Amino acid sequence: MDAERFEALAAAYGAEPRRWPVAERAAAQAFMEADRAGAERLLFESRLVDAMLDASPVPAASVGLRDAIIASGPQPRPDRRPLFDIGRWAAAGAALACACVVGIVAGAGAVQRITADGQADAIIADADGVVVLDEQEMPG
Amino acid sequence: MPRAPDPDEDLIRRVARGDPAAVQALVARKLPRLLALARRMLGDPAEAEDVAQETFLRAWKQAPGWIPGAARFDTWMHRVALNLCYDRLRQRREVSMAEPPDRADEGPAPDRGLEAAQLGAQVDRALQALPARQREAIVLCHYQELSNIDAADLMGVSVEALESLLSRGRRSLRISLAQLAPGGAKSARGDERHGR
Repeated sequence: MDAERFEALAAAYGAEPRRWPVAERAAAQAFMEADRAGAERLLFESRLVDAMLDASPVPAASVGLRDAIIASGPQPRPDRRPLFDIGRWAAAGAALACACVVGIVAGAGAVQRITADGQADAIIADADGVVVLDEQEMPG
Repeated sequence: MPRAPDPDEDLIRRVARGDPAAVQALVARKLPRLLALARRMLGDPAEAEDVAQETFLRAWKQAPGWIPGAARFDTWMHRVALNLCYDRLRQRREVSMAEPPDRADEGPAPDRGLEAAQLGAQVDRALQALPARQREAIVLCHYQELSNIDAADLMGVSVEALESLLSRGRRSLRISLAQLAPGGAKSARGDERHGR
């Protein structure tokens, strides 16, 4: 890089190497290293303009503006599941089948218990009847 | 040369899903930059807030359909904000045809010493006095710190044209703010005489 291009870079982009074009930054920095005093002379005016520009205050966003923008943002989308969710239907079917099995088993158990109780009652009733008959038929 | 990955890509994807944390993060990341851009382009705090708000409204609409790779989301937001600024500048021009604007405040004399706020206000006034394209080039390269390629792309000009706008804008600022720098007035007048 020659002095003319270095001066043109500084006039356009200022004195801060971070604002110089990436493609020319290394060459410009090498130019500075080679002739620091000469480079500083060329950068002097650019440093002044940079300092003036940096005096411009940085505008701060108000909390009200920030909140209004956030409130205008997209809302969380509801969890939409497909109508024919195979997993969901399978789970529901399995639960229904379980309920049926439990119902059938419980029902069968109850019927069995009622039958057994009835039989026991009949046997006891029969036995009581025999005893009574025996007592009536026996002479005093 | 392949483009570097967009640092906002994941955030935009989450914004599109309506993730509240991502919405807040995007606002925290972009609002100060966009507000500064609009404030320096327009020189009016209320108008700058309107531009920032409108830019985000458009970003919320854009996020679900955003295809990464073509451009950075930050660059896209800058483009939207700049277009909105130019719309307002055009409206102002139409208004100013009917009524001439107030003359810019000349500011305090150089030997009075300036508070930082006054100095900042003078710089802002000098920026506003620049032609819009020169101001845009300086705002994008100096304040927003965009690369020369991104800034030129946003402005729709070549890098050479961008450099020309930057150089002319900075030279005008140096002349208009010459009294702020020790020895600056003399140097700037010398430049004017030599046509630099």
